[in-house]
Amino acid sequence: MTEVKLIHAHDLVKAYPVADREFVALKNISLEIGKGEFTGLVGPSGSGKTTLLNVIGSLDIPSSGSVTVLDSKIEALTHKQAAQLRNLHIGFIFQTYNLLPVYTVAENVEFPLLLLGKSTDERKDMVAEALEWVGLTEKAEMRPAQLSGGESQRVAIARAMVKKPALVLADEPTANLDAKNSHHILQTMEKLNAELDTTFLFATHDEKVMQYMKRIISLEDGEVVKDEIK
Amino acid sequence: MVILKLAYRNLKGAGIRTWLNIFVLSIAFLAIVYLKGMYNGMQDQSIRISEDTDKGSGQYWCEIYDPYDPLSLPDAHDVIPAVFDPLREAGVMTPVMFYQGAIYPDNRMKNVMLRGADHTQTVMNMPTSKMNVEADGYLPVMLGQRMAKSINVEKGDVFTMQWRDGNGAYDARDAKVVHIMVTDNSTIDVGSVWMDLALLQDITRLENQATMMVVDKSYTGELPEANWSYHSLFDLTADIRNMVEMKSSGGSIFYGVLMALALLAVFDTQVLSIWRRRKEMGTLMALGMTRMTLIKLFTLEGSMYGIFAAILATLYGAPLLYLNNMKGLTMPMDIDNFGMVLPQTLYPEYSVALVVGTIVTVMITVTITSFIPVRKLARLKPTDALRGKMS
Repeated sequence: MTEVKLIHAHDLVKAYPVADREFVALKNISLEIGKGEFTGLVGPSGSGKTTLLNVIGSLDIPSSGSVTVLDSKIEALTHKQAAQLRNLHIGFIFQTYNLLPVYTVAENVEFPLLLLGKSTDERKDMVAEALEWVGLTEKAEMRPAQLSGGESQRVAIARAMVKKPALVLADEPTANLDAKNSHHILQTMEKLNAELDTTFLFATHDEKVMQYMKRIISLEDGEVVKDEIK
Repeated sequence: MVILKLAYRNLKGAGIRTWLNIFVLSIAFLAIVYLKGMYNGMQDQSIRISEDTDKGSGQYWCEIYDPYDPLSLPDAHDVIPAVFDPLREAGVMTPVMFYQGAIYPDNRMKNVMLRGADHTQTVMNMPTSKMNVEADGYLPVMLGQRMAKSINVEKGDVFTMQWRDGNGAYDARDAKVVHIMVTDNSTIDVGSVWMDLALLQDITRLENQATMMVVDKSYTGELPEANWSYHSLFDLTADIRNMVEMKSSGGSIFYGVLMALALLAVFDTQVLSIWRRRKEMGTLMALGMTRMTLIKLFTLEGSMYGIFAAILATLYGAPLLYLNNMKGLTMPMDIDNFGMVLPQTLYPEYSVALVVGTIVTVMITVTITSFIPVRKLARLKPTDALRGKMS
């Protein structure tokens, strides 16, 4: 584990109102994740993996406790500051790829750069580089509907990585993929982790994914039950 | 600039749905410009025709004359004040006399207005010189085309004419139609029998009397003070403006309905778009887009329908409107007997203000329509959106 702490959660609680009761999704989670880690949040459905990922990704706020990501206290961020944090430093990879259907592959990858206000030339170079990382240079002008599941997820990786974020959050990235594509995707991310020193945090219950993780944090009913470094 | 680019890409990507909305909106654009242009043209032409053929730059009325009081008409004449003589002699003012009478074409009685105008006058654009002819002992009279048609007479026909002279005595003579006047101004045509003013004064024994003095439209000099009331062209054409305004208000309902239909399509598309693109919104927020930018993006997408509709309407509408502007809209003769001056062929007037005003109005309404369903995004949670839920 590296020295620099990218994520620091302390007594994190996340509760949702369900009917007239409260459902506690995360119970007093405390953890630290360092720069360059390749970590998996594992556990059965409903264990709180996605919720934890959402809070770390500043898509949600904790009910109590504290989460610091890249020196930003998530619970203290305004909506705009949270958006800025995501825009600048966090990349997301979703189970269902979440590509923008009306855009081409290149335009999808270019999207975060547009939000960052990069110039046309910069965007062009960075998109080309990202597509090269995932081996989709040839398919730059295709639409998501013309791609296979594996290709779509590689586009999503390129989109998450194009701005070279400090942190990439991947929620069940291989759940919709076959074994061959899953390995391909994970190898790509592993390579990017090594080359760019980007921190990857996965939420998964896929055994194939777990074998690539260097650290596995197990969750059960919203609690960390095990934290092991391979 | 970024959201403009994104909005454009999204609209382009939406395909046929976008084009249908744009097409419907462009029709609304065109219909509004066409109708408004038509009403503007109608008003301007009507006023121009009135000015040219009837009202000049204004009229002096004798004390009793009131066009809205038919009972005043038998006495609506007076001795022409001497103060008008210099302008009469200069040819910039001419007297007109109205006098009630009756004619008997085909042995049927028809009440008419006998109208006298100097056959040498050039103030009103009327062929009054045609009345100065020998008519085989009959009274030479001139009719408008509508009047001639309504009483079924032609040039050269003779009918009996009856009136009461200035002393109240009935008199009658046969009159011969020496000219049929073609005019766009139905108010000097329908129900009127024109003759030389001197002749009308003579047969009514109302020497040097008239009902009104018409001032030449080009006259800009000082107007004499008289005991006759002066009415400017603006006052005299108030009826035309009111009528066009009333018709224009009626037209507003039509293009209001048209716009409502077009806006409904935009609104419906926006609602559908927000519903279908919930996950996309969540993704955009995850990628770093703020809710405010999201609202701007979706509102702009809606507004862009208006922009593209204006462009499309210009592309196919400009040649149509230009053609319409050149050829005009010719109406059947019967429909212009509305009691107001209507030209036979209406030429619409499309001013820059009209086009720009319509574009701005449509843009504002489209933007508001687009914004209404988008407002709720202000409360949208990214996690809900990613799950395909609306907060």
